[in-house]
Amino acid sequence: MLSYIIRRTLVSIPVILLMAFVVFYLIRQVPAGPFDFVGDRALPPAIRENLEKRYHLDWPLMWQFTSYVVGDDVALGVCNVAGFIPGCDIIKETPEGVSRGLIRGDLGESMKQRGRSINTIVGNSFPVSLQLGILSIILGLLIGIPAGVLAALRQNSWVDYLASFVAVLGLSIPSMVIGPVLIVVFAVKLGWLPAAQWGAPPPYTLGIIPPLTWDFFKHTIMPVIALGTGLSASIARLTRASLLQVIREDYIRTARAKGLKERVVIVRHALKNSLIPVVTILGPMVAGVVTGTFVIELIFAIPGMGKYFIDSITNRDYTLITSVSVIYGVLLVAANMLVDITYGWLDPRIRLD
Amino acid sequence: MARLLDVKELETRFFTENGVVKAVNHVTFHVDEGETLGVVGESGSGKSVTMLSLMKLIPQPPGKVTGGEALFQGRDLVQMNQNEMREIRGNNMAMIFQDPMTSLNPVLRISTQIMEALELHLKLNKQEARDRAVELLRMVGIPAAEKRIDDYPHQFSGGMRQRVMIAIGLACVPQLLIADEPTTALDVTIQAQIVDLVKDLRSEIGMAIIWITHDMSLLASLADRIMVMYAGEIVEVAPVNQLYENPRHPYTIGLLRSIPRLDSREHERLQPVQGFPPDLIDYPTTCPFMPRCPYAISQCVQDPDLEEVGDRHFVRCWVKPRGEKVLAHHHRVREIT
Ligand SMILES: Nc1ncnc2c1ncn2[C@@H]1O[C@H](COP(=O)(O)OP(=O)(O)O)[C@@H](O)[C@H]1O
Ligand SMILES: [Mg+2]
Repeated sequence: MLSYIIRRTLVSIPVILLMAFVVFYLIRQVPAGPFDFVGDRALPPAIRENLEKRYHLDWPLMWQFTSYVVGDDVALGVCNVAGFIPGCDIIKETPEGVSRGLIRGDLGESMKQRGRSINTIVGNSFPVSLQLGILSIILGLLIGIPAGVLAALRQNSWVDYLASFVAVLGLSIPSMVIGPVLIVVFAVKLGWLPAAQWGAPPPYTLGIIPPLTWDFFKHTIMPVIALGTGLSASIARLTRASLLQVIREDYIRTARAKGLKERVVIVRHALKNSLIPVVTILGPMVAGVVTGTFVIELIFAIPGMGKYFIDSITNRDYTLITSVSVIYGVLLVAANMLVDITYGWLDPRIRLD
Repeated sequence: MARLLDVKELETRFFTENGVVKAVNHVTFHVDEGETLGVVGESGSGKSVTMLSLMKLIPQPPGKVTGGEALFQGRDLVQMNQNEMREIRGNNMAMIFQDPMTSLNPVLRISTQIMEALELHLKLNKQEARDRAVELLRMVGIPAAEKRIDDYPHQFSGGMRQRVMIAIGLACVPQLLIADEPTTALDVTIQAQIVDLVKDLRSEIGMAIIWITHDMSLLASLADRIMVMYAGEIVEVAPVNQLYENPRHPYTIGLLRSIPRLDSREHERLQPVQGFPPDLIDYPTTCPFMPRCPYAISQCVQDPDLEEVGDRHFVRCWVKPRGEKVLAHHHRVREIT
């Protein structure tokens, strides 16, 4: 298992680097750069040039990326030893910049919030987004699986129809509608819950676990519901379909032939099998939750990472865009790995090696 | 011998969108204690549905037992509710199924799948159940049983899985084991091993067996009596020798003719029964075999009743032809198997 995790991690490194390069390259092709304007005012050319030098925007692209990945000192060191490499003539002239290198754990420095390390930005905002995302998925599973099981067991009864109706409703109303409706009802009209912000600031236990205070929960309830209902709807539908399929399998008849109680037949013999397809969609679902957090964080003014991601694009904050993309990339890789491990645990026919 | 199971006028229907499927029609038979009853008939003739009806394992809806009674140890299974039936299922009456590849739960260990019946019916604790499960696996001939018991089904071959199924079926020492084509999915050598295994276990445990198959030659050495089903009806039932030597229903005669001759040198063509069984939704009022019957007479527009023609030999036919000596080769089949 450990060797599987290590192997998967090693394999995913080139994938993430490739993705980082694509983002790195594409954002530089978009018209306008990070230092063209401050607010509405165009920057004087001299200052702009200075700033571009500081972030090595005058370097050849491959060298910029190299220094982003391994650090300025390494790039300069290489050029000092092997100056014949194309581009080194430009590099050798420049002083060492701010990049310490991605692989050394440095996500770089923001170009717009000058001097602010992206490690700090991400360190403060990513756990918040992660809390929102994880709680939404947990809510989705907690509602979706029982609802799906119930609908399947009472197939074509009013319970089933009600669950299907609610599921279709949950799927068709996007979170950007549910969110404001919740705010209007529970924050504005009833005044029960706060409309915005997050109830617990970082740092968190182990970097992610929030304090379990009422203040935390009252800020979380609405955004988590807004994001989680859509998830629970699709999980419920899938669980229902999958369980109905499994119940027709021969081994369920075998279980019944043993004289087992219906509850045991469902819980022990059917549920685990029927969750296998549910787990498979959790991988892609994490990607959906990531984009979902962008919207929800905006609606509820939650200080998560989504805001930085969107701002960094409009601001052309090159380093911030690339680094935040890398974080999301790592998150998706980790989520898919977790899904595969769960998958292997649910289904012994799948061997993880 | 005492009656173990006495089925009278059993009738099972499936209420589908296309109409009512008359899957089991006035089925009457019995099984004595320790006796082995073979059930044959082509696919779709209602063999499985009859047995599943007795086990109360018919998917409902669309299925329903609409009539008849089935006395098992004196109690009517048809009138029982699921709770009462659950105490009998897997305990006094066990069933094993055709496809060992799909009949075991792929995500549960073999140990779990055997032990759960023991814990439920015999009230054994975990350790006792485990010991007994190992013993059962040994009994059905699984090598290194104490090691293999924690394996998953996919780690076993088809034949080994069917042995596991048999171990599950025999776990609580049932008085009746229903085996629904347990060897059909297996290749011939494995088939013979499974049949031998069941024969050994039968004498050891002393249980009665209902063995469903569409391979008549297999029953020669295994069954005491054979029951032939066609279109949800019993068309003939007789002691095994009587049925082979003196079959009286045209369908039985056809089935016996279609057994491959093991003694023939050339690849002789089989003579399967010509034609197709009737539509069970649009069920004929005539004898259901009439359209395919080479002996049909005008009287056959009425469905005949089961009639006793000899010692424990019943036939549902107006003509009751004497089987010609087409079956002579069959004695050799029996000697070989
Ligand atoms: N769930 C079901 N719904 C409708 N018809 C069924 C169902 N199960 C079985 N039948 C019908 O019952 C008839 C008898 O089937 P079965 O007992 O499985 O035959 P076999 O003799 O091959 O075991 C078949 O015609 C089949 O179509
Ligand atoms: Mg069958």
